[in-house]
Amino acid sequence: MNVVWQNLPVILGGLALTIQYSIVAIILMVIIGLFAALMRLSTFAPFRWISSAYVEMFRSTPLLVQLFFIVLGLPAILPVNQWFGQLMYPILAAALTLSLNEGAYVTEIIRAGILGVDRGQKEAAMSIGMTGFQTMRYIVLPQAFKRMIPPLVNQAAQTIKDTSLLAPVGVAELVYKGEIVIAATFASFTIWALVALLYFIVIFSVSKCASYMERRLQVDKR
Amino acid sequence: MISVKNLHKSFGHHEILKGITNHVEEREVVVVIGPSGSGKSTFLRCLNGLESVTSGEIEIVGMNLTEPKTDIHKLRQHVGMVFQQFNLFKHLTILENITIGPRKVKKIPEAEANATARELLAKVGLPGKEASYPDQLSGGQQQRVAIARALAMKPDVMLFDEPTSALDPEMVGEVLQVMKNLAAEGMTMVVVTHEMGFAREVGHRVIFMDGGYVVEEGNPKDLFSNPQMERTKNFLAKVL
Repeated sequence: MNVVWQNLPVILGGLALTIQYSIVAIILMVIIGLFAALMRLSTFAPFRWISSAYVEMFRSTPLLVQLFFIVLGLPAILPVNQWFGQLMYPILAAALTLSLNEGAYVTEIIRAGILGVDRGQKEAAMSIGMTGFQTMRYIVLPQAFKRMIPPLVNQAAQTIKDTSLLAPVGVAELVYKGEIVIAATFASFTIWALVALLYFIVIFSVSKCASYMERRLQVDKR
Repeated sequence: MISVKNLHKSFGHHEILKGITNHVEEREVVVVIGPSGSGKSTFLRCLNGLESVTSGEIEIVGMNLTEPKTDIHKLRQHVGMVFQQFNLFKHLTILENITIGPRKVKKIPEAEANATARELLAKVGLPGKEASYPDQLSGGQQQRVAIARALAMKPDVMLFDEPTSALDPEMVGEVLQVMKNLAAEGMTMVVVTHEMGFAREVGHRVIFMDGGYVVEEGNPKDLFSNPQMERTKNFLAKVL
């Protein structure tokens, strides 16, 4: 137990970074996913191609490889460190790569949500003179959003767990700090148990909040 | 009010409308009847551009629908439509269902839109239902709200696509009554329906469609009692 108390500040420092990366990635993945989904459903073919290419590229390669490639590989051929700064580039690249990867899955969630809204709703909106944008904004997306909550919460939990893959590219998040503490203390059982517990607490609270939110929406929408 | 010239509509290789030419006068109530698959719903949906036209010309409320430069959204503001499945916005209250068009499309202030919506709800016999959600209403009530939603845009023409076909029999009457009142006020209406009683009583003109053509048309009394074409006779013998 002593080893836990002594190293708790270090571990919690890692947890703080895990939470920060998670928040950024979850916000960005929803924004990216929304745009990519709308592009995927566009009548303008090049938008559909770009969106499909993006989704397939990120879904069909491992996140860890994407992180190595963009965080560590790109600086070998492009002066990105000069553009963004030696310290800033890995942070930005790691956050963006994670967001793009999760965004590919969110694209499919949002696309399915939009397609799940009854066609008649869209036709009724068009029949009172709404533009495509107004129909999306006032009629389709609010209805789609409600049914997208459960899979989006799932994806958010996945994103929090996926931040652990940032450790190998040098982000000092929870797993990274865990490894450091273990290297110094050899208390691998205790520290990994602590790390797992902290992930559990964060993700469990997120999904509890989400199901509360979902119930609230259910009540006033019947 | 509506002028259709040589309208053709195909889905892939399947031709649904094979050259329809027709005119609807202002304040006229035209009822379109025919067997399912005859193209009557497709014809109606072409009139506000919910279906794209393969060839031919449509002029409605003074705008040319088939001209690419026409603002289709502007046009639809003047052409109300009522659907078989009501299609009320499930996530909005009854009041919001009626006001969202005026508020978001016509940019009418909320108070004014709400006042108009309450008048319309009273008119369709549903005062006091403002705060309900569509799922809490019966089919007949939902369809009357759908009519109010269309009327809230102050359209020049109303299109009805089998408005009573999805209703339980005891609710058909209340919807038809609202439509009768509307006709009596002088609204220009095109109604696709299987309600022959309504066609006979309210229609100024009945169009019988089959196989993508207008087979026969005329005033309801003549068409129902003395049809000229063999196909019209066959159809009427089955439904009357």
